[in-house]
Amino acid sequence: MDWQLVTQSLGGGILTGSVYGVAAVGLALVFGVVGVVNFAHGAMIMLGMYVVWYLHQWTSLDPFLLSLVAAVVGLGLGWFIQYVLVNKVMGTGQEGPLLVTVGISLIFVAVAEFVFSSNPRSVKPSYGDATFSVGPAQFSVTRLIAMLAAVAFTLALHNVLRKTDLGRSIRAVSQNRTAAQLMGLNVATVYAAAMALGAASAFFAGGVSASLLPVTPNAGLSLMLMSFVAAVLGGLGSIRGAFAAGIIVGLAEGAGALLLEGTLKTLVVFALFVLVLLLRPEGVFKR
Amino acid sequence: MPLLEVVDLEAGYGQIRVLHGVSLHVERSEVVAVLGANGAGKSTTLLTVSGVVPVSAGTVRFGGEDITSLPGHLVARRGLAQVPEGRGVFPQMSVEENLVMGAIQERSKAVRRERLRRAYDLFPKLGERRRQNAGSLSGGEQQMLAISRALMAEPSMVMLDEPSLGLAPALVETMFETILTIREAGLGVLLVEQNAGEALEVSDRAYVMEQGAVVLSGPAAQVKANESVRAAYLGV
Amino acid sequence: MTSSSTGKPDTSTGKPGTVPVQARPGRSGLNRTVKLVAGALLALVIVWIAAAGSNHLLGLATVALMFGAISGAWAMAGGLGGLFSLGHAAFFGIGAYTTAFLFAGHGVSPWLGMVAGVVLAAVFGACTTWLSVRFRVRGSYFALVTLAWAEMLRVIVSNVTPLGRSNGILVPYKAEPTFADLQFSDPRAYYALAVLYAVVVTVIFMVVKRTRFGWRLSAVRGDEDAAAASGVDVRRVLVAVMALSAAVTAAGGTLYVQYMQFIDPELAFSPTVSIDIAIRAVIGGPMVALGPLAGSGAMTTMTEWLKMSVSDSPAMNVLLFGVAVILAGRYFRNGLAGIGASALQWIGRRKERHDGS
Ligand SMILES: Nc1ncnc2c1ncn2[C@@H]1O[C@H](COP(=O)(O)OP(=O)(O)OP(=O)(O)O)[C@@H](O)[C@H]1O
Ligand SMILES: [Mg+2]
Repeated sequence: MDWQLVTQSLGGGILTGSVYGVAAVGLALVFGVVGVVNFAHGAMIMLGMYVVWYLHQWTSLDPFLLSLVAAVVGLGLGWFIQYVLVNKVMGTGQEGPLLVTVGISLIFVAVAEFVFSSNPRSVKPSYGDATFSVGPAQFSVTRLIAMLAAVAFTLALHNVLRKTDLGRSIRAVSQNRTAAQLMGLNVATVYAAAMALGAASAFFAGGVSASLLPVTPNAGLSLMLMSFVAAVLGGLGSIRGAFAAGIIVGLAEGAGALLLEGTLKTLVVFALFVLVLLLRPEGVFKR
Repeated sequence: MPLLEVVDLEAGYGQIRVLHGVSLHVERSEVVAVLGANGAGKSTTLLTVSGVVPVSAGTVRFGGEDITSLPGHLVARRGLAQVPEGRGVFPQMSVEENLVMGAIQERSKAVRRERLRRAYDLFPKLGERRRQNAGSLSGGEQQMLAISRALMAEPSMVMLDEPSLGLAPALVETMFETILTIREAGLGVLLVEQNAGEALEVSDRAYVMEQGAVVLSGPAAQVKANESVRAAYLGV
Repeated sequence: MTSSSTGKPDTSTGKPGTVPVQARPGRSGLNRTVKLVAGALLALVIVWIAAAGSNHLLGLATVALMFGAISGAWAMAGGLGGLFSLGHAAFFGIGAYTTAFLFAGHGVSPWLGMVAGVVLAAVFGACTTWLSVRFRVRGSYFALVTLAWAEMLRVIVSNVTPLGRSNGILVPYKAEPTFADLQFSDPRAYYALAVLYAVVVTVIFMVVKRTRFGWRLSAVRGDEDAAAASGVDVRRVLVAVMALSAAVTAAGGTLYVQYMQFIDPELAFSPTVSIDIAIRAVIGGPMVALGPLAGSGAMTTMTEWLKMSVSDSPAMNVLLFGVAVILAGRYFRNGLAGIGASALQWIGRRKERHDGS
């Protein structure tokens, strides 16, 4: 086997996987706390891309720095969505949240098309052409920075959940809702906070991806599917698990690229997805 | 004026009505027991008083104020704590984090530290295990944790739902002693128990529930002497 | 019965045994009248479009009917069966591609292609659903798994050369098409075909809903464990309803590809198609035979109106669907049909009060 090709594919897999990871973290958080599969996650990722693209056009600041701004936008939007829409359909089965998040996703995509048109846009950081090599393989510096940013964001989120009152409250609600209420926690607010953080991670993942992928209104879809795979693989609800699973998904995609040509590489990921969804212990699905 | 006053409380789950007019009251520095068979509606009563299950009719007054339609988190913030059935510890959080959750409404770090210290004084076992996940504690330790967590908020009243369930006899003893300590501190205690003998031992008064209604009430000694209570709950 | 507060017929559950003990002649009569009037109006509109409609209108109506009927097929599984699929594009695409491949590549009649597509889709639906049911994947996860299956098909088909890879398949138009080619020179013929398809789907839906099979579905939907306990073979019932839904959807795929004379992986398998199919039913009312058709008609009409009066951007359509589905999720869980039923009940109550006084 061609050693260079293997390093290239798997190394690339890890770099891309970290972006899947940070997106998956948000999905897993929302699921773990609110118990809702957020079908608008992909659209949020896409909006994050556009926020960074737009601000980069305007300010020429570093896109990875601007991803933080995108995350802040995500915080606000996520809070609003949960508070105004999703909270109102909780407790009536899964169909309500499913419909509402699908609807939100459609609206976001439509808005992006109206505002930005469907022409692909791209973001190029100042170091866009720089590369570095690992053994025989060569990678762009942009992808490395994207990975570092994803790791940093995930660690920060992890610390918020571990060390702050907000994080403790979020974990408490996810572990025992009634007991959390008896501690004086407003579950609706905590849900909104969790969705806010989840959306922030989606926006951040999108912001980071803006430098890696063409920015289009439908760009969030494939990223969302990858993060679904990772979130489910990581055990739905675990932050570290979701991030690690994101890397695994990236690696699987890299391995797929070695074995299969062109777009067929994603088949490996989907096969993994279906396998994981089907074979997880029943407990994971019965919430 | 009683600390807690429940009048003609009705509540249920969805279409199912579980409580059909429950009335009871608890004074400060008083332990009141609620006895009843499985499914009588004891836990539902506590959850409804706490605002977790919505009230469909009747009133709940706490400290002289009407809290009937207050959502659960606001009831808790007024100083009415509950140790729910099955303890309700946060299993993937450490013992100390669980305790901190009890005082989450208290912003001052110093106050929290002081309360933690008191909790560890009350149950030194918890201090030894402060870094351990609550889910890995024994049943008895979890119960102690749940009670301490409720006290971390410095409530004026605690409701305990079957605190002795699954505890070894020696621990049951400790647990009831703790309840007396809580009363000494001036709190009102509403105690739901299957362990009727022990519960009546520490209580001042008691209520007996059947099918969502109070069928008997009075001073603990009087309830203990009642023929049907002796037959049904004391096994004599 | 004298007061209006007693004996309210339970319209919320479709379970047998909850049939009102004392049916009210007044209201069920009203109900039937309304249904008859609605049906007659619908028929009138259908005929009017055929007779007087422009080619543009005819085309819109044809597609609205086809997708409405496919939505009806979705509703058999997604509504009656409670299996919320976001992957019906898989079945639609199988129908379209099988037909197009056999017809364009090998000259096989689309009617035979339809049969082949229907069988393939039913098998695919049965297998994938069996897996999901076997491993107790439900609700949002079921939606996710179905989305993944359809995506897999999209990726595979985009890479298979005989299927035209991402370029798709162009269906050749015969100079003198015959009925066997499922091609017509008169657009009204396609329209008639779409009407026929919609009628067939509606009838199948009603049959499914009213028979013992429908009763079992309703039991499974309500409480799987209870249904199993009372002797219903849950796995078989769910697999069967998805196979049926898939088969009917695939037939729609055949009609669509013969009408459009083109198919590619995006048109056939993209999640947008799956969402479109599901949402028309959700908006119209997934538990009622005419719901999905009504939803489809309403969505197409609204889209056209917005295109004419506001903006002809294709995003308008997406925006509209988004808003409508949120409203359905938030307020009208039974869609337009539910709104209609509530209105009817309200009229009934008014009438009753009026009669009683
Ligand atoms: N979440 C719920 N949903 C529906 N019904 C419930 C729920 N919780 C309790 N019930 C029903 O309400 C009734 C009273 O239950 P409750 O838990 O209050 O009884 P209890 O007196 O605490 O019994 P136990 O001694 O077994 O704890 C029971 O019939 C029970 O089935
Ligand atoms: Mg109980």
